[in-house]
Amino acid sequence: MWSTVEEFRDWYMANGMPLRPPFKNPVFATDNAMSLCLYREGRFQVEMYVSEPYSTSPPHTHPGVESAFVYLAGNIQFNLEGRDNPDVQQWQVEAPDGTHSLLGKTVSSPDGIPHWLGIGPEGGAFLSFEYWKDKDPVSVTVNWNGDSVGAEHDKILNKGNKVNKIQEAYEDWAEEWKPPAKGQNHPTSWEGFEAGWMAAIEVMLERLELSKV
Amino acid sequence: MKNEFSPVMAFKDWWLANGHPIRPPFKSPIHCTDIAYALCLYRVGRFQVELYIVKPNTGSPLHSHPNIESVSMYLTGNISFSDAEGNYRDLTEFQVEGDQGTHKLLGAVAEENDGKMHALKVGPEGGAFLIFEYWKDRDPVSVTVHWEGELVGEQHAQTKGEYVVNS
Repeated sequence: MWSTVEEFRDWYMANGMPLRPPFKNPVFATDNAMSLCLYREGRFQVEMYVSEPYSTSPPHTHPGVESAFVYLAGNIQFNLEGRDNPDVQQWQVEAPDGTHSLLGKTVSSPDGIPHWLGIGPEGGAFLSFEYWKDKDPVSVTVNWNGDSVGAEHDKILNKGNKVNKIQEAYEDWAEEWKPPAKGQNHPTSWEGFEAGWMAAIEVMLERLELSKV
Repeated sequence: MKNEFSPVMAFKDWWLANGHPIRPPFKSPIHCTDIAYALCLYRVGRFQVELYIVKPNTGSPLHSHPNIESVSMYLTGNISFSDAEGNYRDLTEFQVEGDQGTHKLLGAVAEENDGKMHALKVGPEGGAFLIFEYWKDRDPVSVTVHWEGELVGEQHAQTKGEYVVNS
């Protein structure tokens, strides 16, 4: 097995890029991109991303995931916070074999460093090699910290993180709740207690996109 | 009937036997519609193979790709192709996990299509498949834009319109 995402990437590329999409959670779609997991083994996977022309993603991270991207096709500007991000327009040219001159170029995206994308008129396609350090892989589309790319992405984030959302709602509630100080009145009526509890439930339902029956 | 010696079948066999090279072309590699995104993985002469990633719970109406011989290969997800009359085979029994955590239908090949009508139905898991294509009378672009029949939506119309204007 591999110890870094770069090792995994090099192994995958050197071994004929096996096409072995998993049965579970292979395909994800947002407002402007779709992903297909091409290969998944333990905590490692490679996803292929295809992005619409003229699309962007805001700065974001994928907590707990080390990533490395490999350029396939189209017009993709990849930016990593704290790095000198060269304007790739100078390399938007055809290679002698009819492919993109950037085909196979790679860039690592360490866990916790925000990155963002800009896609040109041709659309874009790249491979995302991933090492999920503390959980089983799903898709970095749903393991996302930062503004989403739109309403469709919001829906999938809520679905993908349903378990996490329950945990977050509970943690927020626990953090905000303080025992009444000495001399401070406890709720003196059931109505007061019920209102507070129902407000907490509303928060959870909202995060889960559920409604009360 | 499956024709082992047709140009498109020979191309498919060659591509798979030679380590399925992933070498998207510089020109026109990506085409998007309302229900699917396509990336051309390899193009040589009048032949190409496109990867389609399809959104969950979608489908396409009956349509054809005139003068294109094609054969589709299943990768994953919940996808059914219809015959020319729009009849689907029930593939429910194959919606199970196969070897090494893949889909049981991985690598299964649909019947070769020589410009005939067909349609697509996609279940809640979404899906992905390859289309091997032989364009008999022109240089390949994408079957998404070389499409006869009702389109899948507005985005499809826009993508197809750009192709028509530029061709």
